[in-house]
Amino acid sequence: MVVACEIGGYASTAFGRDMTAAVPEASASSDDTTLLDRAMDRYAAGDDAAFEEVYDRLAPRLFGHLLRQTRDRSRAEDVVQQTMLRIHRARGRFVPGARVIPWAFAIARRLLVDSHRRGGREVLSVEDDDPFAEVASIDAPADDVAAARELAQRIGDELARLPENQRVAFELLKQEGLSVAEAAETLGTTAAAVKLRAHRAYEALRAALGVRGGEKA
Amino acid sequence: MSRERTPPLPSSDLRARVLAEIAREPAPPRATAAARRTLVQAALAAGAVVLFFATSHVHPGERPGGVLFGTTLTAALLAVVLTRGASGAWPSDHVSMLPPSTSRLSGIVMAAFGVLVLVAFAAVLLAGPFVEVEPATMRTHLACGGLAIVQGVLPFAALAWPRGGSDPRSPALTGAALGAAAGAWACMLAWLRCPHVEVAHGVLAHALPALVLSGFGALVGARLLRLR
Repeated sequence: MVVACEIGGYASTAFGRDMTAAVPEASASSDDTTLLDRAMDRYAAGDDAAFEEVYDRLAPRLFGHLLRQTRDRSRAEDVVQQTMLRIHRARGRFVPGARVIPWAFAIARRLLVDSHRRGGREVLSVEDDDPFAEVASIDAPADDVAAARELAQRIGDELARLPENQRVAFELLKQEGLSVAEAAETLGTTAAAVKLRAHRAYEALRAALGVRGGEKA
Repeated sequence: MSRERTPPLPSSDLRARVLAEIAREPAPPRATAAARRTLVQAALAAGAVVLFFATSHVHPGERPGGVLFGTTLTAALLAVVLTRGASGAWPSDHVSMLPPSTSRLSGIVMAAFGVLVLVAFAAVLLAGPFVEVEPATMRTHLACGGLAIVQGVLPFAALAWPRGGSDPRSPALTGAALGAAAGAWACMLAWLRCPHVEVAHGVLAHALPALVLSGFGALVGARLLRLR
């Protein structure tokens, strides 16, 4: 079931471990994050060309997050575009040493909520991107791919049933690879609260999938 | 079995669109924007001082110098701490482009009112033996409190204006915290100009305006500070 581990960024193997193992390694993307922060700082200081680096380092992460939330490629791109514009407009306010990732994710989440409230489009449109479609591109036996697809679908369903604050904390840590501190900053809460919410989400998912996985096995 | 997968990427067209839009709508770099902000904030702060002297003056009345100094200084220190706390500048554990956590912002609102009420009690305790207190009427409470609210509007503007359109999380709560900080500044001015040393007056006319300004900040902040 290694294939399933990769679907949608979930590390399902972590369900058998301690919660500390379920929190992604902050160092995995810390270099990239540091380079992003530096690029934004250069942009704020007046280096116009640095915005391209900010875009290249930030937009794919935002897009991945938004695509998972919306399952609509054009809508995700629209929110990425609006987020990058807000970041550009706030150029003169950027505080040296501030982190770009929590700020950008908070902006993107707000824009997404606002666009949803305006009632434009259906949130879960499946006409464009199926987030599980990437499984099909994995070079694996068809049975494994089908099982992985099914597990991914179940994880998605279980996540959707979780309380909003638990689901979001879990997604930011597990799917987006934010550190606990970054997730706390994004959500405007404490690191302890984020850990607790993610842990509860993790336990709920583990219980739900464990029972059904056992039945399946 | 390959474990590699390609994360979804935005189209290259999006990159071109974003860069084109940014070229059409230039934003000033930090130094230029900071100079503008400082200028506007200084003008609003100066306006607050002018408004104070236009509508009132320093009036110790029967209060001993220690009481006048102590109440004013305490309110001023509180105002500085709340201003820095509401704007995320203190404690300086890390800098952020986002406002402080919701728990900290709520704490600021509660601390503002709580500490200002304590100052009102402390003023009476310190001044009690020295001051002949003529009870303030409701009309006095309203006039003094109303003036405190008016004198707190410009400090609120100075605090909120630079953050306009930038809060993606909780603009109303951020506005409330900034309003509470402005209320502390207004309370400092109230202790400078108001000779009444009485618990009821201190609470109703000096501390309560901070709460009113906090509510005003929440209303205004929900629109002014909201991400645009």
